[in-house]
Amino acid sequence: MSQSAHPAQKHGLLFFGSRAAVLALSLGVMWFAERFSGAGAEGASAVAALGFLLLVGDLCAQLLEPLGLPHLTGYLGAGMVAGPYVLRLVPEHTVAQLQAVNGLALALIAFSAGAELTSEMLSKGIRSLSLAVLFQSLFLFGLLAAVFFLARPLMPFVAAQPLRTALGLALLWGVVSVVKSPAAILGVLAETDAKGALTTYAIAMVVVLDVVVLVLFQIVLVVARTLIEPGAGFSMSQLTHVAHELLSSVALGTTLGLLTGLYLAWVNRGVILFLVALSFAAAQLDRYFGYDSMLVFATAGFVVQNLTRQGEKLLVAIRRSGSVIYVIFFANAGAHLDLVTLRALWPVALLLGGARAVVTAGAAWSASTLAGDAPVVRRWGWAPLISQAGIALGLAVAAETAFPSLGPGFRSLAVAVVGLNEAIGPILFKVALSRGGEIDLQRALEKAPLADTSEAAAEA
Amino acid sequence: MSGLLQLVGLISLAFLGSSALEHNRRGLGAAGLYVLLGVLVGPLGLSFIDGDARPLLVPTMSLCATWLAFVFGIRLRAGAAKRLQLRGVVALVGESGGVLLLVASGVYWLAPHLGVAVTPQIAIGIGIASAASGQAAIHFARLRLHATGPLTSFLENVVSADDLVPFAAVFALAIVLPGTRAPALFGAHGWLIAVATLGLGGLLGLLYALAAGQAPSSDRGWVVLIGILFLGAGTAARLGLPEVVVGTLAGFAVASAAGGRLLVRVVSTTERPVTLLLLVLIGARLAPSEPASAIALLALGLRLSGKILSGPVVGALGGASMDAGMGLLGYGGLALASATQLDLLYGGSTGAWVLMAAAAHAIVGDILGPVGTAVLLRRHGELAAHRGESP
Repeated sequence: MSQSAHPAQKHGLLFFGSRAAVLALSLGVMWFAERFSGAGAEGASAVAALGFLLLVGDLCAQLLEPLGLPHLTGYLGAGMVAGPYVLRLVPEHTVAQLQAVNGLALALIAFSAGAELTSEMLSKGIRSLSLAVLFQSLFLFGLLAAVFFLARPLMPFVAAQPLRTALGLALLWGVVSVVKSPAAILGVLAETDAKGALTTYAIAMVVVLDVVVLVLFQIVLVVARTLIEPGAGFSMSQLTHVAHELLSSVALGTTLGLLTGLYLAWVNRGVILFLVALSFAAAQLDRYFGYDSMLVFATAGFVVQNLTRQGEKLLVAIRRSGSVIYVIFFANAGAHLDLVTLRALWPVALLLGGARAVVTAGAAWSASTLAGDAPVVRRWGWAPLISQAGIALGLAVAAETAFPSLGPGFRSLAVAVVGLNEAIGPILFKVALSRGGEIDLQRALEKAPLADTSEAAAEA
Repeated sequence: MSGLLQLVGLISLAFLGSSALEHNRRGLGAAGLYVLLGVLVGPLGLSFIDGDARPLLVPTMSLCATWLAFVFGIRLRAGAAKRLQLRGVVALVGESGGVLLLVASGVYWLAPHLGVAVTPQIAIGIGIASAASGQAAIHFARLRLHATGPLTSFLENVVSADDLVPFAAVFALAIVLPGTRAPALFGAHGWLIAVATLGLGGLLGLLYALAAGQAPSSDRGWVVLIGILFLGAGTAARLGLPEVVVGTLAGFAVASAAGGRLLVRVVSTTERPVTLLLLVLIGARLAPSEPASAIALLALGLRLSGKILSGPVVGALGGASMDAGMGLLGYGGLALASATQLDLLYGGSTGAWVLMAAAAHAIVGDILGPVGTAVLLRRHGELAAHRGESP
């Protein structure tokens, strides 16, 4: 979990001067290596890029901290600036090499998301959660599909298509709009150590919606195929496949969770390394059998938390490595952000992103009011639901794969909108937590010991 | 299977082995088993490490070597350099320098008698890989067998710093013969390698001091430390600089800036898993051939003779007993890092033969190191005989 510098260190010129100097020197080292490196050093480039993104991501987060911006924004910004579209210090092929590390970070984040959910939390808030999930899914799906359909003249790749095809794409867009970002939510929570009704609501929502979206996407994919591809029929076998996928993911996740629980109970050493190895092995299985990685690891975390007594140990281990995981994930995400596409599609991206934000806020408020949620959730419940990241892009890529002739335009638009939401969402959530009084500054300071290194070392 | 998954599998094996070794009551290491494991899973064995993973092996080896050298640099700054007085420094230079020269010249002159032609570069490389001693045996004697006394302290000080000689030799060799990785600019001007290596090592220390400060919080300190290590290792490899020298300099500079003892405690826990991982990777990369095996056996004999013969030199220069060489037979992670570095710099037959020799040293050194040390210390009355744990 990332921690803040002591307030006394924060505002001095020395603090900013030293961080700016490190930034400049790191940029200089990367530039020099990029300019003069010998041939055949691809592996070394990835190693250097990973180190550079870690260092610079953390520095940018520190430099942005006085503005009240979340650390994730700093990590994203660092990746964006260093990536293939601005300074090109981390070129495209290196970004592609780092993708595997990103997958690992996402697996650990999902593990953490599942472990944050307790059965008590779910049972207490079942009415609120059900309504919120229902409203978010229905309103976002329906209204954003409508906005997309109406805005088709602004999108060349849709404008020229027949209405049926445009409708199919609009439905797919509706699903992509429902997706949230568990990584962004957990990243902000890891930084702020927030506690309270809004925090609980945010965690539960992003994890449960991930499952809902998985089902919704597969159903819509079947429907969209009948609209986009003339002659394609509706096949129940694809829905059966989704059911298999869901059940198998939960089964694998449960097995992983029980294994993790046993390891924590009997061995309890090198937990992060154990999780890394387990995550990689499971990710291979997921890829081979087509399971949903996010669901597998979230289930595993949930099982450890709720079916064993080892949940706290798991959370402590993941939190300890949190700073490294989140920097890697978001700096990488920043480097992946296709700024050229964003620049080309910004008007329509802004329209769709804005519409999504408005509908998200409306749906969240309506559901919270009906459920009689705590005032803080009624007022700020929409804020954690704005962020989007890897899962939304994953769905867009799946759509591209399903409809190769239309997909690239669709994926580019998704990249642009997700980019906006990825940049703005964490800021809004942090503001909401702060205004909602769920960030305890004293606690955040207390959990920043200055020299508690031995335990962290043992874990690292 | 994904290359990264294979690599993570190897890392996990190294960690599990490292945990298992903590309960090893006899001090006998498992280096041989790890090298054999590498051979078993590598292309020569069951080919679990296939084409997908091979591009990852080299950067990982580079990272391991840098990490071990970094820990060495921190330890050197934190105490080893202070504890060794001038006599100790002269003794360790004489000991490991002497072994380096003996093995290099022996391999060069004796290899033709075995029907193998050896270039001066290979002979020097094998000499460098043979020079240092490992720390595991003396640490085991002190911590588990409760050895105490002047000879124990002397040996501990010597083995904690005698990797300086092979590292300096690697540096000199990289300047004279820049290697295949070096970009054209550095290849043409070897002195630029010296400047860039020193500059990068110092710069990494400065970056740590500026980014993490004097008393870094635990998590941020780790982010910065890992970031700097990866940046340093990757940049050194891209520019064809010797990673072990960059790592040592960075460690020294970081410890100078941010409290060496605290950092030693933090990073020391990573040393054994990294060493074991390096052993597996070396095993997976070994390319045994008849001439390479013959040269490895020759180097092994020369090293053991050199270490035992260095006893009188160490005794005379360092004020220790004349048979102190018996306590220097072990082989450690830093010596492996030197060998790995030569493989990274030159590859080809130089790298392959040096790695073969290093693997042989690691296997035999892990057995003879603890035995030799225990026999020596018992002979000098610095080892309690009644505990029944001695080998």
